[in-house]
Amino acid sequence: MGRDRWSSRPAMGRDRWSSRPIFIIAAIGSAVGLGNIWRFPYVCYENGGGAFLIPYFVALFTAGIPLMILEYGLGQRMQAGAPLAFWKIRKGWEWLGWWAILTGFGIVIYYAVIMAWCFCYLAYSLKLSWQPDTASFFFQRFLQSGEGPGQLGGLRWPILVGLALTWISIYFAIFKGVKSVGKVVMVTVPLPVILIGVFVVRGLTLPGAIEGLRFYLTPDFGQLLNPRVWLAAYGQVFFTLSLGFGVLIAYSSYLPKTSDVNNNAFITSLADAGISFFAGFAVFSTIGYLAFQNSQPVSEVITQGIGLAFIAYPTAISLLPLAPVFGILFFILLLTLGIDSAFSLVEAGVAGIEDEWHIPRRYIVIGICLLAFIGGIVFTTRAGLYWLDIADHFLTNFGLATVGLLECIVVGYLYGTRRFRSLVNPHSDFRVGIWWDVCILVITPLILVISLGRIAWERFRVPYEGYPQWALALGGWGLVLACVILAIILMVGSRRSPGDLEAAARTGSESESD
Amino acid sequence: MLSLSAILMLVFGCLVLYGGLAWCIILACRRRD
Repeated sequence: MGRDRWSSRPAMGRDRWSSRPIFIIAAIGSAVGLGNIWRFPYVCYENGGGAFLIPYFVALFTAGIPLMILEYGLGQRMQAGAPLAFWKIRKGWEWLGWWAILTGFGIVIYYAVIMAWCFCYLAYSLKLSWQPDTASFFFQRFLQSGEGPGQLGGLRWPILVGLALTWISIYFAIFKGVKSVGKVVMVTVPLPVILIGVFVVRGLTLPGAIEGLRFYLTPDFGQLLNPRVWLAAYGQVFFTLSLGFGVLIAYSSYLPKTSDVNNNAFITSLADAGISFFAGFAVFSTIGYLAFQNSQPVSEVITQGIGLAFIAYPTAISLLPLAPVFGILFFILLLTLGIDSAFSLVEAGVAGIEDEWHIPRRYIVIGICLLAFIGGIVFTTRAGLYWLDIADHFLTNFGLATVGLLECIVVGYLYGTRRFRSLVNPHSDFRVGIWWDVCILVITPLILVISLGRIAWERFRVPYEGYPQWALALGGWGLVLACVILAIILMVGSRRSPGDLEAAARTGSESESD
Repeated sequence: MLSLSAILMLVFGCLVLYGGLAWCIILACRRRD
């Protein structure tokens, strides 16, 4: 019969997750990141409170989960990272896999810098160094932000040290492949959930907490008539699930070919959304407390993103008994949320390169980590925050969304949804039917085209955040274009021989007949 | 206290997310890999 399909070294030499639960935990770790705590709760509050759950769940079931099934199915059935998987699906589309990986690489370069900030703030928590004015501390003393992107100024050495620590951590997390990843995620996934629980309990016992939760949960059903709310829901779902980076394709390629696809996608997506929902209680109860202490309405205190993580929440923490303890716990929470998302982005690139050029894994990992560390240096300068903002806006809104759209076109239209379902359904815990076809062929592409069109129109009309055009050209449009061009170069650089074509065709037909 | 509608949305969210997750995990455990 052959070896057990969960054995670590199958005939093809591909790494294997030691079990299905480990894979699911790693995938959840990839999906669950900083955005689950600093974006979802705010987006929920801003778009109808509790009523937002309706469009959010609709988006989850009509875009998020279907796309996740697509990516899991692609990686697992093709037993390859993103570039090779797309090539097997449709010759000539390898560049899409590379584009996904390069977009993810661009994102992890600045994502690691945010984690560097977390390392620094972990140290600052000991003495609550951000007091008395957290905003001023963050912008003026910590980042020492200049006037704009053109004023690089000098390097911020604490951030550079934090960045080095981040990349060393990422290296050791993934250098042995899924063996090391599997061990690391057993800490980096449960620990933040436990810590969120600590902050939920702490938050709910504070004065003003209920007022905060009112803002989070009280539904405004009238907002459901606002198309922007639905677009916000789809946007949030899309960005939160690690879609479009080649990560899920890479991770699932280390599963046996005959493993479940559909249920894994449901479990990952529901766990990610569940953690976001849970985190909202920690955020709004604590922000409610802060508003109560400052005699302000919650609406004037609540914020999202960097402002929440490095200004509002630390301000609230400073007011708590045992504040340094909660400060340390909070930044450990952010670090553990971020690290497994970060290294999954790197793993997508490692898988892609290993498939193509068969270079020993440790050299690929060292190379990528070094390159990303060097690339991240610009974000540790005094203009770093501006460049981070620009890169993030363009890579996520244009790079990521376009990859998602093209995935739907390649798999849905060029390969065929029925054919793809016949690959994933036979081995899954349950089958998916016409629902999946409609989502991949119609709903998801429609939403992505509308979102892309809207954001592109906005960007052509008004420069993003009023940044100078040269900065947007260099760090925004230029970055996206560079990813595409590099993706095409990588595709040409790995042009296969007729022997490879034959071997891949055999593997492809084996995948379809299993 | 939270309003009734807020509580209902809370329950709704928990049912869909955690109930759905539990159901999927039960399905996965039933199937032997």
